Amino acid sequence: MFARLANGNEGPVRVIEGQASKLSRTMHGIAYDPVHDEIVVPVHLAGAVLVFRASASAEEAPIRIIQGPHTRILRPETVNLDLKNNEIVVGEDGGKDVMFFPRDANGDVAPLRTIRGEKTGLDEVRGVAVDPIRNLLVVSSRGNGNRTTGVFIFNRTDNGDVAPRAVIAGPKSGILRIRQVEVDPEQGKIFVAVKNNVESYRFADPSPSPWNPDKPGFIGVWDINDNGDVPPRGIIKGPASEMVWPAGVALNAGDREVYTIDSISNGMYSYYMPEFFPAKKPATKQ
Amino acid sequence: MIRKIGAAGALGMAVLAMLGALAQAAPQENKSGKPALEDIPPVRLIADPYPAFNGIAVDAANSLVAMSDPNRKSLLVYDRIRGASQGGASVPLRQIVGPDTFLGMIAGIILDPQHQEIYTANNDIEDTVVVMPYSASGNVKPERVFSVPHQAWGLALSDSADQIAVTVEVQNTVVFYRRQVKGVEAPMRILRGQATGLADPHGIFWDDSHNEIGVANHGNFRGVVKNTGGGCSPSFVVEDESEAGESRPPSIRIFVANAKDDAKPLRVIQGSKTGLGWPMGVAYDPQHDTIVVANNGDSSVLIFGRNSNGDVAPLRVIRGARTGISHPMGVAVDPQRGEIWVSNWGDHSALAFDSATRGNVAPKRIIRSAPQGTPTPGFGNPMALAYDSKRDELLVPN
Repeated sequence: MFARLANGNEGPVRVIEGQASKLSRTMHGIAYDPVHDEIVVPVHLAGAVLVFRASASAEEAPIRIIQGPHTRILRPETVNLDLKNNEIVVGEDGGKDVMFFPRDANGDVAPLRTIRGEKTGLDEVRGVAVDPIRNLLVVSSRGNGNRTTGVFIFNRTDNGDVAPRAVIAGPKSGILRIRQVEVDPEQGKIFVAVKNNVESYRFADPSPSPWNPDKPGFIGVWDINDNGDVPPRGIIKGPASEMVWPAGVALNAGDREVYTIDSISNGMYSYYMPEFFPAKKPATKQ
Repeated sequence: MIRKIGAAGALGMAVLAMLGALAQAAPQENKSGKPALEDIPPVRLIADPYPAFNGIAVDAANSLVAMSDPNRKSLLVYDRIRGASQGGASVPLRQIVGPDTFLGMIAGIILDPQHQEIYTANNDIEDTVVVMPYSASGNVKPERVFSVPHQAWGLALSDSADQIAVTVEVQNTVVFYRRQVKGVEAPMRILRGQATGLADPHGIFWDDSHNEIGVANHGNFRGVVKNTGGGCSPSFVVEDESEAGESRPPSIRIFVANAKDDAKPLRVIQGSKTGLGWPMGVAYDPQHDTIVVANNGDSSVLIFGRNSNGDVAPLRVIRGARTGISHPMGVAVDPQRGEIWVSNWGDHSALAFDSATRGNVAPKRIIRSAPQGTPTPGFGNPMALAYDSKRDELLVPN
């Protein structure tokens, strides 16, 4: 946990860590619940979703754990919250699915709904977010082989092997590889961490590095009603942005800021983006 | 619109400089010389411009100590004696860094004095082990690169078997290759299965004198990955739906060195008395016939008897404020000088202790990758974040 206004080479203000936390070194998602003041984290290697007090620190145990055979959780990659409908949304890369659990689920609990199957078009799910106003689910999925990499939009209450109602993907979208997504439901906007990391396993190539920065990543903004090969309506990208492979995205509409975390530079970046949040809300304390 | 430009300041420039090789390789998308409209500088950034140590290895014969650095994606080689620091950053003999090096989110490291080679495992994304000659420096291509399964972490080398062992977190596996492996090559054997008890394995040591290997396990488990015919190339994972996620206790599991398939361990150190918590690197100390563990969970080094088995307390523990141990990731043993080396993820430092020591003792020498007291954000290939509006904090799973 870092202070929002921290700047430079600063350490965290708090850390949840250690064996009793049941966290691991492989956690690719996180969500904050401002209503119940909790943090939700998926643990990929343990097939678990952990819920902590938001004020937790050090080797503190989670207050709830979703884990076990009835959960059908395989490899939870990402999480988000739908506080209007009181649900935790879990996206899986190995399972190629999205699962919905009661927000207060604890133990070996079956999911309420699961979106999985050939019609869904989902492959390695990297991000999930809910628009509770329009009752939509937004999913970022990395497709292997001839499967689509892009933003998939479902009805929030979809269940089973169902086709998405829209897919944002294609050359104009600029999406090659994709990670975390967030939704600003008030404006109907989707914010996407388009990582665009491209690995090369051709060791004899002139430059064998798997890093391929000629296609740097970006933060892209789409309308929730976009569909097809649509360019982003807003974008943060380029050398000055310092992004190489942005993997995460978070929003702070009150302070009109967008945040990203970069897996190449191991850096966390804050951008002041009033054009993304035109209707300014009361700011948090400075 | 007037924008806040450059507020991130000098650190941003430092980080950019450290990423210079990447920036040079990136094309200039905007030919006009003016920043593109979307090319918006951050108002704030948090990053560590200094190397952060993960794995550590010692070559006593050549008086070298080497560390892997997943933060700036480099290998650093120091003189194990003269590299010591009084508070400033130590000067490495060599730093290997840049896009040609193939170094990324690197973890385990080993030195091969006989063949003068450095091995390091790309844990995430690249799925390779990089082999560099001792003489490598700067942005140089590896001597060899070979494919390993996704999430390789620990490395161990056997002179007698002429093999290299690689732990794989997500597959709960140890894979063994011939030492000279290059490119995409099938492993010679695989240690994997329910009977092994491997669960999110990390550090590994190979004790040629007793023909044993030891593996540190975090305990996270979501089934045993089945062989789907993908060999060592990246492939999909098909798992048994009857299996479920588990958070098992951490352990050190000792196997006969030529173990394969679903072999049972010879001995298992596991239980509440052990004090194990997120055990990372492990090493065998032939001088004391002990197993040395970098215990990340409580910033300690645990030392067990080689024949320890079951829920047993460590023979010795190095822990406390004087030790300077902070979130250790790697350990290495220098039997010639009777030293244990510890690499700190939490403090830009590597520490040399007397290998017979215990308790809250100061290290004999310290190698620093940054001036003493430099903060450590601690990011390692981060993939997500969230905003806590109540505390005005940013949350990062790491």
